[in-house]
Amino acid sequence: MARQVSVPSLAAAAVAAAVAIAFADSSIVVLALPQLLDELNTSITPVSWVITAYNLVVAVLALALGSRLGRASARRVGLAGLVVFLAASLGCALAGSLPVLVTLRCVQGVGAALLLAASLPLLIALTGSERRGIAVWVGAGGVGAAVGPALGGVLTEVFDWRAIFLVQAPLAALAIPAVAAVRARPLPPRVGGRRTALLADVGLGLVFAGLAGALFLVVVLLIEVWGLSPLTAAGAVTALPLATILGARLERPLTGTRAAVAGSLALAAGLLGLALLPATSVPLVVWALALCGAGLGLALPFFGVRSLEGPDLAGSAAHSIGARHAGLVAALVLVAPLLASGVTTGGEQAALGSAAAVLDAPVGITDKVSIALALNDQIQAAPKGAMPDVDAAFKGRSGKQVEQLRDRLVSTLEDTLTRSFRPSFALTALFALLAVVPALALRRRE
Amino acid sequence: MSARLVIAALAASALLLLGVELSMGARDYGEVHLGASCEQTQLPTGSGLDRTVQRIVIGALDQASCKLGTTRERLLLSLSPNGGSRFKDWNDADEERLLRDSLVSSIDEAEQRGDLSGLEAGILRELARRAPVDLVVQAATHLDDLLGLANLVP
Repeated sequence: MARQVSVPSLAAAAVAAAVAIAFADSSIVVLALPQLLDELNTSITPVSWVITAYNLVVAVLALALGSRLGRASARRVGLAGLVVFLAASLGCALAGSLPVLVTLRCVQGVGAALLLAASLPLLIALTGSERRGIAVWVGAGGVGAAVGPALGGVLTEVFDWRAIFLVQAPLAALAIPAVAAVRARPLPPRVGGRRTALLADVGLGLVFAGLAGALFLVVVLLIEVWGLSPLTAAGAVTALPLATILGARLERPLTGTRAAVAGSLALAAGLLGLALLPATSVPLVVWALALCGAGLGLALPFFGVRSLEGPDLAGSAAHSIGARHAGLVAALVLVAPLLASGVTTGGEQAALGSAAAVLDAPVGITDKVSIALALNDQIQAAPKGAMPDVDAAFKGRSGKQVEQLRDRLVSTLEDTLTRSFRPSFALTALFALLAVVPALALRRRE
Repeated sequence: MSARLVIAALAASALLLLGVELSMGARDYGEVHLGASCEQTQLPTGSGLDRTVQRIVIGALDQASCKLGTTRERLLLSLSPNGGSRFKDWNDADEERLLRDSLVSSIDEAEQRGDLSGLEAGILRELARRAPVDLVVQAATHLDDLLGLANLVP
């Protein structure tokens, strides 16, 4: 006999889907950044605010809501969050300029913070038990973070970056009747360590700061510098969530602090691997991302569970959300200008390297000087961090030697620009490495 | 899978990745190696008009960059009307004077090597000394056309 799906189960699934998409929104736009970079005619630092703004608002609001949420009606807060999130998602899909998009992402962040902060009491009420509610909440967060970048990449490739926001609206709309019907009671106070939750939140923030490097930087590198399509880049980036799932399974034999320390070190090693790329090699990127993913899978459950161990479950959940997004924001705020500065220097180095290659190339003098100067113009014209249009510098020129020179220049530019990502990856590796400190501090308390 | 095995597998994967990257030349990857200022560079060899012009232009670029204390690549890019100034830490007057002097000197050397006839060298020297600097740069990239014209002079 077919198992009947109960109304509360469907309602829990609808709320879990909305929670997953709100978590996914931290990174879902990552693979659309290059398209936004081109379409909105901007550069890395301004476009990074499409991600930063959302995460910043979620972090600040979730941390501010914190323990206040225990006294508020989760149903009302959740409904308000869903309505704001739905309206802002539609607005983002229609945005025609970067300032409008960033503003609407802030509004979307307000909705997401309200929804996420209220979602744990709602899910506990819908599933009928604290244990199941927490499991669904943690699972929805994990699924959202895992599928976010790949889903965004597929939607961008098949449709447009606007599709990313359009698909969020029905998910939010479906959750509205589910939340409206819930009778969530305030969660009872628990015996828990505020200090344990705080240390775990610091660990979560640092791990998520490392995650920003693995996602934001890799995507910009793969699409803008190496010229991969969003779909191919999504395929490469999928190594991260797949390895995260595998890492979470590895956590069982490791358990406790060892899992968190091993996970943080693996994440740092993967990011260091990305910093030390010796070629434009997708397999090496996948290998490094797999290491990052395994590290995340080990470290996140440890920090995630302990971050909910505060005396007030709803408040701890809000702080946990705030810590994750604060980590992402801190990384993005520090990494975006570091990357912009790196690629500016890298662009100059690339122009000089190209000039050297052109001067030594066995082509005619007219081609030599013209190509070197035209290429410099293309490097100047390209958005910061993006690969210049080498073909434009070779317009109207043909021949075997010219072709060979073109290939050599593409290689010089890719290599120089790839190297310019090094300091940014190294910084995010440092964040991941620092997550070992709260893990060890928690060990002393256990 | 035991805890030790998990840690060993992760450590091995991390060390192997970093080892492979370092063995593939990660340390120097993407670095641009330019010759030092005044470093002797090999001028293009071979006969024909284009090779002659290359020896004159690149020789002049080498000499001027040496006198300016920079590399020939930086000097070349500084001549770009679009954003060339970001490669420049010298003043325009020095650049113009040194470019003209170096071009004249390079033409002299070409004449001594037998690459240019006296007439060709004379025309080019005058052009290098008197023409507006923008024109000199443009002419430098089209010297083969100019020499073609000079050959038509009886």
